[in-house]
Amino acid sequence: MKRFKKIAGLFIIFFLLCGPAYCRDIRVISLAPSTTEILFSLGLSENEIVGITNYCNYPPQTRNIPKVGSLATVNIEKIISLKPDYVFSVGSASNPLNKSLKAAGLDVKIFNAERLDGIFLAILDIGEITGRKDKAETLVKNMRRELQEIRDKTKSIEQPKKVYVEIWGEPITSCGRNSLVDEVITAAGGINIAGSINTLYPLLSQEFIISQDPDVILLGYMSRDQAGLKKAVASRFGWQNIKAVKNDQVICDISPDIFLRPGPRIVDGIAQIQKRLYGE
Amino acid sequence: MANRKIFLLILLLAVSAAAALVIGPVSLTRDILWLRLSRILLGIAAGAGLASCGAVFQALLRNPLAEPYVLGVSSGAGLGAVLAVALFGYAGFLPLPAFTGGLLVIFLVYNLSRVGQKVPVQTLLLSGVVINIICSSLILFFISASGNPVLHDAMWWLLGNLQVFDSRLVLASLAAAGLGIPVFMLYSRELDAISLGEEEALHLGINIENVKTALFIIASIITAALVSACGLIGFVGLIVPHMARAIVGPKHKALIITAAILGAIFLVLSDAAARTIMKPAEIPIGIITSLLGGPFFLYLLRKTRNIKQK
Repeated sequence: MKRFKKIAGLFIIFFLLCGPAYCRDIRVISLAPSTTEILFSLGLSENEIVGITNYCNYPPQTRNIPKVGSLATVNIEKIISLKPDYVFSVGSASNPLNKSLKAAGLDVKIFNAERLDGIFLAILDIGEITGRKDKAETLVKNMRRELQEIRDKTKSIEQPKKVYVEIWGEPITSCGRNSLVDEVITAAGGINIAGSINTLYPLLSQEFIISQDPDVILLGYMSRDQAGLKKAVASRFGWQNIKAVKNDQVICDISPDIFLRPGPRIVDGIAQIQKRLYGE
Repeated sequence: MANRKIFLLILLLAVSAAAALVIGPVSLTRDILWLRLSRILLGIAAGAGLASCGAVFQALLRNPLAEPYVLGVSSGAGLGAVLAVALFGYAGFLPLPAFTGGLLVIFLVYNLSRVGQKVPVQTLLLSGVVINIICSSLILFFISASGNPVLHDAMWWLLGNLQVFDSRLVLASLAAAGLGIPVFMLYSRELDAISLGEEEALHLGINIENVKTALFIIASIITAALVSACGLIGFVGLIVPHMARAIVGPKHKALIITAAILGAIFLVLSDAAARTIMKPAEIPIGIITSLLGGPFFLYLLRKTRNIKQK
């Protein structure tokens, strides 16, 4: 009987402790910059997004949120200590990180949006999970509408421009068919010169790029000195006769975060690229 | 006999270079011509340089597993580039910090293993291997610790690549290989003696410490220059000297020039494959060199059965 009282007492204390859990805010951790952006655009606050990665740099509020590492070096102990209700992760469900997060008893949700439709689905799903369904539906509706407006403009373009997107130079890396960037360029009314290649991020040969003679080169490096890169690309051996270089159409001032990152700003990225390609 | 073989190899190099000129992802136009030609020249410089340095390192260290990267020049170069990006946000001409890093590591390894006036080969090899490991770990440390995503891609740079962005790099590589190989050949008698054993070399009246130091420094500078220009290209410096030995025997006068020509042929053809097999995408050349060279070397090993190190 005495033991029963003890156990009952423990139970009561346990439930009392759990009580606040039911009425407190949701606590989520994001392991991708795109997910972080989605969470903010769904109206989650800094108190609800309790952990993000070092790469999460938008919106500005991300500066005040604890960092749990970058994708390759996530600190699992830190994640557990933040007591999240959900961890929004990326990659395969069976990779070591996601496996050990699950083994630690965390509710891991994985999102790998690679295409525009995938981004919309991710926003809707994340909205559902975080109790922001209405907000997510409105956001997706607006994004779809803006995308449609861009595509309508694209239809009236008579001479589509050839675009070469470079996301890294050593070795030369571009974005092939099925990549988000390919969809972005196509939606903006350009022709992605690497769009015929089946690899997501093909290492291109310079000879191919020169012989394709793109009208525009779009630099999407995740680096700081974009202007210096532009100069370096334009002065590469054998690139002087490329139309984009001759006509100073090497674009380095659109932040790659808005056209490489599968987040809510992607439509804005497409709009900006379209504007740079064809004017208003 | 050796002369005839070398002459034939030079012919083969000419044929390979000509073939490589017309092999590529796009058809040859004037714009493409110079680009492809410079790439072939870089392949010749890198192949000849790495293979001859490999032969020299194998003789100096008296070790059949020695290769140009064994003493840490390559990871020193990698570390130089990575540090420049990670600590200083450097986004310019990566070969420069890479070359500096490579040279610093040579200096470090050499001084670590020096005992008075002498540099014992075993110590040199061991300190080189350890510095190599330390530098590689530091590269990985900075890549995983830094939030700068540029570094994740810097890993690729280390994989090796003969794409030419800057014709100055081709000239520098050609100069490094072109000046170094004749020097190696001048020292061929000393190399023969040293590969017999240092004791024996001493008895033959050779100042082995001076020769060792000179050759070590020259071969390391060439390696550092080539790593800076085209990253790490494995296999050439290890296997091609053995192939050359199977063809002309262990005497260094013929061995070095044969290794150089074979290395050049090997890289020119590998690079042609790297840019063509999955066109217009590229395959990292290191993958091709191992896939082509490995089985061929095993075949050679079975066929001659007595490829000896000395």
